Amino acid sequence: MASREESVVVASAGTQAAHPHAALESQPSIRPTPASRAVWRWAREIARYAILVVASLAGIFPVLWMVTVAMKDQAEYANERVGLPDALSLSNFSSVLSDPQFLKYVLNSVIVVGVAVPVLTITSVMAGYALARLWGRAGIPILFVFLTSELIPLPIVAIPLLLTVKHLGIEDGTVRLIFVYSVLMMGFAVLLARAFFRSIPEELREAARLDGCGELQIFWRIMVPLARSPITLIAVLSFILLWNEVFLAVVLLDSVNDRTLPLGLAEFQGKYSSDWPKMAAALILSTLPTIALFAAFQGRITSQFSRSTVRE
Amino acid sequence: MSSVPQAIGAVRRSARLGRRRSRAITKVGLIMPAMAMFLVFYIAPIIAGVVLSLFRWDGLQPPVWVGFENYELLLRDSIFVSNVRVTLISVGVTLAVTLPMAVLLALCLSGRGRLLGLFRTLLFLPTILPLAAIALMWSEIFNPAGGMANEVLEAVGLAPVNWLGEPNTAMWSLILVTVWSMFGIHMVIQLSALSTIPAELREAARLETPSSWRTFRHVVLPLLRDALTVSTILIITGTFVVYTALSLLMTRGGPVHATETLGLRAFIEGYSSLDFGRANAATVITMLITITLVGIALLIGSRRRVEY
Repeated sequence: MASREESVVVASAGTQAAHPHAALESQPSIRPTPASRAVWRWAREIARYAILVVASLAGIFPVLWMVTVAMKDQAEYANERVGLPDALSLSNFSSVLSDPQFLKYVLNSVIVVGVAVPVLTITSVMAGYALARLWGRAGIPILFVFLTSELIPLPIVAIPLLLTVKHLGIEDGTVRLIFVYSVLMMGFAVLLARAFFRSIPEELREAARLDGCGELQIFWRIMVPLARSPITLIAVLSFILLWNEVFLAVVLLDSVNDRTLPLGLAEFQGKYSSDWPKMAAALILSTLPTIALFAAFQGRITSQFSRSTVRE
Repeated sequence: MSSVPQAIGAVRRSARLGRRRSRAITKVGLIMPAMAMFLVFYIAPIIAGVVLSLFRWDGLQPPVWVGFENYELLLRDSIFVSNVRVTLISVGVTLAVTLPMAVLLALCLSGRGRLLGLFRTLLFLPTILPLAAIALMWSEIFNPAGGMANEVLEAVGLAPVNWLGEPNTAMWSLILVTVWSMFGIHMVIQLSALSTIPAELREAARLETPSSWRTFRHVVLPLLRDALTVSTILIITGTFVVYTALSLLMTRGGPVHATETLGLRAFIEGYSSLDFGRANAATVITMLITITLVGIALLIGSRRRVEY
């Protein structure tokens, strides 16, 4: 379905493309000489790298600044807000890491995310396969139900969500977050899994069926091992999203003891308001898992994630 | 003699029947866990929000049916207009800045060249930072007493600004942070859309001649349309979440409601004032605004012909 539409787009663009080129050929004054073309190429390359340098600086300058602040002590930071630290001191990091409260928040986050990510990944891969291969045309309306989550993001319905969770009698904050986080990006995950399973030839299933495999066996023994790359992608992306989630955590968590790391950081702000370098160290430490994961899967995230979004 | 083929036929038939039953069980069984959780924790809250917006409810007494009273009270409220204004401006400005920026950076990053991979990583970095960390970091950057933003202004010779403390500047400061946290992902979406464009056409788009703007406008832009639609929708829905979370963490909607979106209003009514009826009414209006904006984006994006 998607590929047909793509070819239409390309074909129509091809016909459109002919038109402006023809217009250019008919105007000799615009046709560039070799010399002016070389000048333009240079100007273009300079402009391109200038834009990239400026934008990258704007992108990472605040982060670099935070790293330098985390290595200063309070007095040094008060004297010099911007600038390199006097010494490579990691004492702020070690004092944050020895703060039992910080470790409690880390543990809470690990529990919530550690359960929600596998639940989300497994259920949405199962659903994606069923929609791709077992439901036929009836699967399309079901897919649209899942995709409403891309239309109305869950945080928008935060208060009704809180009421629903209370109505169901789920008092434990950790359990609340696990359930809610498991559906937070389900629409995207189901879409991604479905797209992957549709790309696997139907003959493979036929062959497995002739060998006497039942439907469940085909899914479990053949399809799941093949789907390693979408499974990894769903797991990594949902980890990054859920590890960082803060708005629903604010709404759904009643008890201080259940606070996840992002929410805990917001509370650290009060505690360390006079000691910003320590705060910066806590922020950096909380970001490390996502950065490590991103570094490990960078290529896959930037290419495949966007491709799957664009394709369908 | 004839009973053997019959028996084989019966076995085959029962095997086929069994296979059909196993198929039906698998079909339902595989989709049930996801569907059940989705209905309970996503669809049910939406329905509950719509229904409860028609009741007066403080969470303790049983809800009382009041029809559209919550909406009337909300619409007559002077802050409501400001809430809607902040909601629409934050979405509109974020979209108007992020989308062209994403396309421009994607064009700069496309093709072969040294360091492009490095630039891509650096530009994508803000996207993966936790929102809470972003909020706290920028609060300190915007600190009027010696924050980095004012240090920079001072170095350039400009007057310091009270970034988050003034009603006139606070919203723009938050929009700046929203754009900062979102442009990376859309840059990557546009970049991968560019990479699916045939090489000859891409060559034409590489700003080769003074007339390249026209090539870009008429050749490349139409090919990017699907990706632009996806980005537009994600920016619209993303801003509702990101800006609202930032205004909660950085300004609590203040000073004097200057940064308070309708979504944050719903949160404050429901969480602090325990007026769940009005909170749900604000939620429903937020949902309607989201759906309308996304609908408009889809309509524009799915138009077959581009006029020029």
